[in-house]
Amino acid sequence: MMLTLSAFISQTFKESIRNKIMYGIGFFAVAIFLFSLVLGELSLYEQARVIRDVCMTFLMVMGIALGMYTGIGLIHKEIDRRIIYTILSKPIRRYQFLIGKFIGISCTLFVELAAMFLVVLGLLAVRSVDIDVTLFQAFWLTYLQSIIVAAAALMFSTFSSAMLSTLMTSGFVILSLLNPQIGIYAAQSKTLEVRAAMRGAQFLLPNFGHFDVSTQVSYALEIPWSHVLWSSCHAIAYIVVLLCIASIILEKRDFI
Amino acid sequence: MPVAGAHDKKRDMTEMMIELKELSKTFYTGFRRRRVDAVRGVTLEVERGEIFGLIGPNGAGKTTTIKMLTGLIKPTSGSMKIMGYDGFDRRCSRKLGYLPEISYYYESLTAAEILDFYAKLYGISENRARKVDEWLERVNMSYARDKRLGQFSKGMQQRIGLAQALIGNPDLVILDEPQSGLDPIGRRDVSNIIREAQNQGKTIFFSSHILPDVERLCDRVGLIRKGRMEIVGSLRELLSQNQHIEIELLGSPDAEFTDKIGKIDGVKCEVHEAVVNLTLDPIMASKTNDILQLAISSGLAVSRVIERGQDLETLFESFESSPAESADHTDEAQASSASEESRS
Repeated sequence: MMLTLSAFISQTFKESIRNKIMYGIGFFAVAIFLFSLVLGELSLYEQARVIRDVCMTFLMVMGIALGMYTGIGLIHKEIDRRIIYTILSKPIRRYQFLIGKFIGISCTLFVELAAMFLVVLGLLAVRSVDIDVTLFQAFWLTYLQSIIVAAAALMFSTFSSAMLSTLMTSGFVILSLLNPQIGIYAAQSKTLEVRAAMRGAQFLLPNFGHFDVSTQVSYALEIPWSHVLWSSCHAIAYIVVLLCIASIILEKRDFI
Repeated sequence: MPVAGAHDKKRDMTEMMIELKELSKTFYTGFRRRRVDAVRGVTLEVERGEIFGLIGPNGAGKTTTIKMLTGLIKPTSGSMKIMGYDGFDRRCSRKLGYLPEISYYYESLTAAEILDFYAKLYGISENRARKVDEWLERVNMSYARDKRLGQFSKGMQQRIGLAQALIGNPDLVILDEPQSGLDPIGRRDVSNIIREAQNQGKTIFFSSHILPDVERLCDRVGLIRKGRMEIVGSLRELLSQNQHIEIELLGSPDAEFTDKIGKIDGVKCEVHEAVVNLTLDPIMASKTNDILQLAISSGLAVSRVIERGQDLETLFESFESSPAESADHTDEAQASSASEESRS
């Protein structure tokens, strides 16, 4: 079991890290972070807030984008290039393949986001902006959000084409970001059916509002550790559910 | 003619590696859920240590049958025993090696890394690095040990594919078109690896379009068409069908000669100007010398004596030109496109 998982984890990690597109994305991210310095200079007396705000928001966007890209890309590549045939005919369970892939993707995302976060910390240090624990908490929540997106992308990839998976994952991300607004809309709705549908959607989708701490980051406000812990549990539970659904679908799937 | 599912007592005594009984697979493809019967009631037995070749035209159901054997597709009906286990399960997958048709591997991994990955999937924890090097050596790929697969040619990828199929030391090796896209040297190397695997006691089940290779390698073959197994038998049995001896004589035969020849059962005589062509059935082979003596004593000169059997290609073509039993002609194309449709 551990040998199989380690095989998938190391293979996924190597495959992602050696992907040249990732280096392109990395350079783009660094360019944006440098641009935040320019934006900071343009704002009067708000340099620190603008730099922190732009960098951490962009880190969140990158987390979502990378989660989608790796989650969808890796599984579809395996199916399209028929690599999966040689894997599933080996003495492994299909869920081991999914879990191994997911852990590999999670490791890759951690390394990629951590590298970007280090660049952000370096910029903040250069500009003499305070580096506080809020930034690290925000990084962790951003990472959790990105692996939820990766798990959702992985789940959609088990039964649909790359294009459809991208559309469905995008819809999932947008609705998850709007989860708090869906709750407000449900409370205000007078129609019972609409309210039930909204409540259902709110219940089924993860609340990305929990992972969005941009206000606290901008103003260097304290984030309670209980919030970080609760959000971590929320993310792990949601990922477990997504991977279980993906495993059931993959188990039943014919590879024709 | 040997028929699919033919079963004799001798075969019952040997260990069966594959036993398929009335195995079928039906797909429902496209938006309108169109029914495609890709495999229809295939019955087949493959015994330990033999090389079995599955041949048939495109869309005949070869790959679908192989995918059922390797657990990638679940059969719609029928039963399947692999190495004594009912259906495909993890216990039999430990002893099974599989090379899919036109497969690619992780491009950013090196040859050694990819074999190490597959060795881990087989649960090989001891001496893994040594096994990887050993298999790279056996498929003549040691020189590319640390090269990434993205730089490999089709032939090199195929060698790595064979190594990944064999690294777990399987008892049963299933190869789907292992020689497709390879140059003659590549094909020869693949044939050698298959022969070597058989010498080590492994059972090989492979599909191929390259009939001379099938003829050279296989102990038995099965011909599948429109999802049905049309014939199964040993190559010797199949190729001995329609075997005959042709004798060409020069000169004008007299009436006595044609009369005597005409009275012998199993000999056909055709006279064209000053050339006499005799065709002898296989049962008349022992009388060849007597017939030649008769020809010489009648003043005819023997131009040539040829023993003709049919090759696999002729057999394949003869089945191709004959109508399949109750097969829907549109199904062949549907079956081959099923994969593409379902993917999209």
